[in-house]
Amino acid sequence: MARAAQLTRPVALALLLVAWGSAAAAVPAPAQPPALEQQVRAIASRLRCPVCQNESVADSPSGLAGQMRALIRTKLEEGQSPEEIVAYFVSRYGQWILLDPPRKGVGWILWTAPVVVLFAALVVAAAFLRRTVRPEEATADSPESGGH
Amino acid sequence: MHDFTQSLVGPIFLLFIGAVLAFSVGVLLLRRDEVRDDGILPAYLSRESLFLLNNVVLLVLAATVFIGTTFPLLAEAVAGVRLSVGPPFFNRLTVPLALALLVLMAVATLLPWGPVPRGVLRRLAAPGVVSLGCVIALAGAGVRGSTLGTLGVIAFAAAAQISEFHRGARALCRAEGRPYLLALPALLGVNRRRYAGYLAHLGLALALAGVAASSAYRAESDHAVRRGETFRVGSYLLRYDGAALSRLPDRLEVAAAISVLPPRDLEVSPGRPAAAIRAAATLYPSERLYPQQRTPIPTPAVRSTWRGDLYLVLLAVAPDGSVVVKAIVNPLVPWIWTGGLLMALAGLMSIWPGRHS
Repeated sequence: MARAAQLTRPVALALLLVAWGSAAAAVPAPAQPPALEQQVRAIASRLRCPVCQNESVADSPSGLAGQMRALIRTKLEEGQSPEEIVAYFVSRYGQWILLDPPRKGVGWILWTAPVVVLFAALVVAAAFLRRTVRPEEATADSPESGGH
Repeated sequence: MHDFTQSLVGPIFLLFIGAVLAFSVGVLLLRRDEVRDDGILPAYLSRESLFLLNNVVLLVLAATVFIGTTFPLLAEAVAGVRLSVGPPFFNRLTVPLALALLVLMAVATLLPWGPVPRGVLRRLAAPGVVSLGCVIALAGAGVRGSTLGTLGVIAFAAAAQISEFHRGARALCRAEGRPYLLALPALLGVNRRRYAGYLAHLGLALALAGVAASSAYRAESDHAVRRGETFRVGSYLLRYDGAALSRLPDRLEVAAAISVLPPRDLEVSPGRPAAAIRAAATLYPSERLYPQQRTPIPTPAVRSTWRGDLYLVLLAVAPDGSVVVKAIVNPLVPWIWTGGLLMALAGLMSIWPGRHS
């Protein structure tokens, strides 16, 4: 390291204990196997962070989200399935915690509404085409020079 | 819902959207005689009809975002149900719509205006072959599932734009006898708005490739390492080379030296120790401690290459010199910036007043 002095013990100790203390709570001591971390992230990204503005548990830097991720990790290690873990959070916080609302009850309207809009728009477009497509009347107006 | 309303961003944003809406509707009304068409389309499959379908997809995209953002409010007001609508909902609906948009964009690029000449669909062959080649290469590299399909569609859309440049340049070569490489940029002079449009399409394809890759292959992990130890994140092999403390007038700063090892050296063998590998780059994530503050402030280090972004955050340093580092890999993120820049430049090129109005 050319740009700074090598670590000197007493100062380092003072600084680092502070650093360690602040981070130790959130940091797992050994590196986690990536597969488990991916599973934790997959579940956490389906849950809403309860203390944030529209942020998922996976993305939130808040302390509560960190605890929820740790809880998800523990439950996965205990052998619970992702669905069981999600159901646990729903039982504690309600449907509101799900960023992906279930397709039943009111949520059913949410999922069908865009599809209804799609079909309505397609029907209108098809009706328009049926009325306006007249191949014999159309003239080629210099196809290669027209921009858009 | 976003709580923009609590800050100044909300009113400014609303004003901006209102101005954009008023301006575009105003221009449309002022020029309505010029944009009105004769109400005749040449064929069911034509550039014009694909534009119509394109508008259907854009409309449904806008409706989906509108429904998704207002639904929680409506559900609570009408049914008294509290629920959230987040990224999983939007991803599931907008990704297929965006792919449909890309296919329409690619095919419409390859068709001329007006009646469709016989055999014009043969122009789809070259981009199709390129797309297939990309899919096979990506599958060989381990890309799977919906990401593979998405990248295949993006490759098709990009190849369609490039093939139009190629077709135009070849025609110019034949007509004026210019060398091919000079004909390519000359196309922008011949029909600036048309080819700037294709450049914007290309920018969109680049940006979407970045979005697809970075959302599917983001890797994040924490590593507790001693000096000289290596660790992997995504396709990167990293080595911790030691920490150093600097005493600056206003703060203490402890920085860890993390070396990025070249990708070809991913396997560390006993005969080839990690310490002997020459680093491609060294990053210095650090923590700063100001006397007035109790907790240190991490300053992440970022390495941005065409392959992607690597972020390193120093989480903790232990008295024995070992550190805990958070490493995040976001593949192809610079492609998003490059694509966005290309779109902006192409947009500027096409609206810039020229000789022919």
